[in-house]
Amino acid sequence: MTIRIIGSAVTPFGELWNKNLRELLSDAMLEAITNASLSPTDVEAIFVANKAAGNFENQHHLNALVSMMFPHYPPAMRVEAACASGSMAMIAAELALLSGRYKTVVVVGGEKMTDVSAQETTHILSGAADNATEIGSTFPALYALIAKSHMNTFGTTRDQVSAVAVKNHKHAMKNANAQFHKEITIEQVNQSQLIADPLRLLDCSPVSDGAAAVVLSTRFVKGSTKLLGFGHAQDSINLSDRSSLTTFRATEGAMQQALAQTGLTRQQLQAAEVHDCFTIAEILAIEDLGFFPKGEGGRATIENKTTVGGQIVINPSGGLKACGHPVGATGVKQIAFLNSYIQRGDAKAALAHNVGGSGATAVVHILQK
Amino acid sequence: MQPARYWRDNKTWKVWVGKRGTVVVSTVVTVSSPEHAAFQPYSYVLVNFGTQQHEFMGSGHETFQEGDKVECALRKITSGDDRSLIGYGIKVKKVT
Repeated sequence: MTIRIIGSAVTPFGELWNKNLRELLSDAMLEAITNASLSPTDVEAIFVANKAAGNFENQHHLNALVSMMFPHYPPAMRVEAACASGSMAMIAAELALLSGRYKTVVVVGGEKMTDVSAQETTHILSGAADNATEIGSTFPALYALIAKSHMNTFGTTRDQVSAVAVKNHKHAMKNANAQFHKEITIEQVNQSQLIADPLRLLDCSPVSDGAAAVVLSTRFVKGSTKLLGFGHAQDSINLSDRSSLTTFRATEGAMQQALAQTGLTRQQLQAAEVHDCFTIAEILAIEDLGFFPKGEGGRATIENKTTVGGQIVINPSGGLKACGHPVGATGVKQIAFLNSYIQRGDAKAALAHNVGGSGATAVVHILQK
Repeated sequence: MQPARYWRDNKTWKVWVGKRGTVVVSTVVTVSSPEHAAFQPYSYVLVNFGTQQHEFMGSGHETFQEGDKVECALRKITSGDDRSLIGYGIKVKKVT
């Protein structure tokens, strides 16, 4: 049985004061359904990805909220897995389709993050860490420990890490929905405000509002993108119990599963949306996914091997860093963006990599024309 | 800090107080959650205790390097208004 992406949509990402969460979710779903040439009543079930609407705006029970947007109140479920909520909702939908229960479903992800202060956002996001053993941690702090370990072990330089941000801001210039349309330099990243040594402000993905949706179907639709396969793996939620701080075992495991399911090789993938919540995270991702040898991710980036004309285009959307990171939307946005990317002929096969927390959850999807 | 959680957590203090280990890697947090903001900038460190590793906040504004010897100590870990519970917990300090 083949699952196809027959419609997709991404709202603009950014500080969207004129939109609340339900409007963002509704905008994305309606556009995706229209894009699929369906009517809302054709949707048999909805899978909703969101991390923290309960914290950001005291809105729980999102499955009911979203189902209510359809005239026939289809079955809906909400999925939460921190920053990997979107890709986990994708997996829930795919398993439901593969079981034969449904033939056409919608996956929607969204987050409304900008109505609270930066400190409050930091507090809410830190809920994805182990609150019993990582007291006082923040996500920049956890990734700072990872960055320092990578630098100490492999000699990764400050400029190499900054090159990730520079490249992703450049990619975002071509993405109309991206939060940032401004190119930056390595020097600007290196001199931006220190957040958690060695990570600086321009190493961090922004706080964003936004939503994305895809329509998945097991019905044949000519020319649609195929979801060839996925992988999903876990590791310890805290850093203390990890066997390595320079490798995300969950990413390695998810990639192995996805490749085995699809039968494709890494060389057949022309683009990848990877989880660059911090610049160092992209370096780990391209190494752990096997696109570059361990310790070579930083050098590959600064040598332009991860942009158009290089070995593989990493984060053509601008990634989390420059396109934005409305947490619950991100995993769905990666798939929706790659669907458009493939449909307009920029790639034949591409990969999406979504991470939850500091590497505890990883999901990989592979798409093909 | 929730009083019931505080009551549960303080039972683990005796396991840690006085325990010594070596810093694996550390960072300095300059933007934190509101409950830790009064301690900024503070260190956040991964410590190796031989048979296990654990993550802790650093005591005061102390900074740490890989290989530093540290000891666990009971310290304030959260701050709030005058009427709220003063949160204590385990931090690490350098062994001098």
